[in-house]
Amino acid sequence: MTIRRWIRWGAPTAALALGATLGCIVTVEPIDGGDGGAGGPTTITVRLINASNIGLDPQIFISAEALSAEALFASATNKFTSFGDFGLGLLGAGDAAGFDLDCAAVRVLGTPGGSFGNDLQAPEGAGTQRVLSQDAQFNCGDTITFTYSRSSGGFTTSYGIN
Amino acid sequence: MRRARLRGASVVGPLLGLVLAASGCIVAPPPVRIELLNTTALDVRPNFYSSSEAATSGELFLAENLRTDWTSRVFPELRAGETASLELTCADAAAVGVSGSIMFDALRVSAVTSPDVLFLLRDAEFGCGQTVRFTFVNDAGALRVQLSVE
Repeated sequence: MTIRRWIRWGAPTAALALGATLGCIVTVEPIDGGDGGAGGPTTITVRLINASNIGLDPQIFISAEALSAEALFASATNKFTSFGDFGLGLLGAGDAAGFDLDCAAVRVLGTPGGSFGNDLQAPEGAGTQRVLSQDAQFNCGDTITFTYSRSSGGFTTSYGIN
Repeated sequence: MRRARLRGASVVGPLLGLVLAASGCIVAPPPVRIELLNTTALDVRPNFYSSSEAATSGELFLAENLRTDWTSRVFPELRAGETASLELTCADAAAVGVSGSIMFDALRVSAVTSPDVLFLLRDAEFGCGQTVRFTFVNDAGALRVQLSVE
């Protein structure tokens, strides 16, 4: 076969064979050493216990983005209030509440301590600031329990994870 | 002879195109490879953006252009020392960049935001087939983003 014949007939034939063999190639390559995956837990359970004998605003803040404790508490939009009596985010003396949060919505979760008092416009005091981050202090699927109580001379907020 | 050569050449191009089209193939330019390197000892949220049509930083750095598909984790973050990569078709990479990258200390729950905003236009700062690498560096507590194009 001469070069001219190859150019006229051989090359197109080869291209046809190649195209028919390979088809089109689309490259999309997400890469990850992933620790996520199907079938695992998808929620975090939060339990709030008011162990005091007065009213409580537990002041639960959550963020899907990594941020500092200061930034978490600085934005009112981060405050989660869909629990408690009438879904107002308040607990009466001795009350408890619980709710589930989507794991993807909670990179950081915390409370500046909670505000104690039967008149929350004039609270008697605040508990202890607690700030936790997912994959460090807790994991998706965990249950986080905040307990708000009186302590000698004031109020305290403790937490447990299991 | 000259006429014959010209006639032969004029047949090859259209015929080749016809053959490729008939086989369903479109010859596309090579993809753009994006690499995100976290050299810090903390978690980094790169906040990488890409767009097929953005021409300005204002058009690129929109929530709809934020890419998180370089990871399958719940949060689009790089672990300490981790590298992730992503390939974009050339058409999808009219502009790429990072803005508002965050270095996060998950134990102390503290975060710093990088002051660096890197905006790159295809055919200006990078081209099809090239690798665009964003390297995240802890510079005395500040998060800085270094850029290389190869």
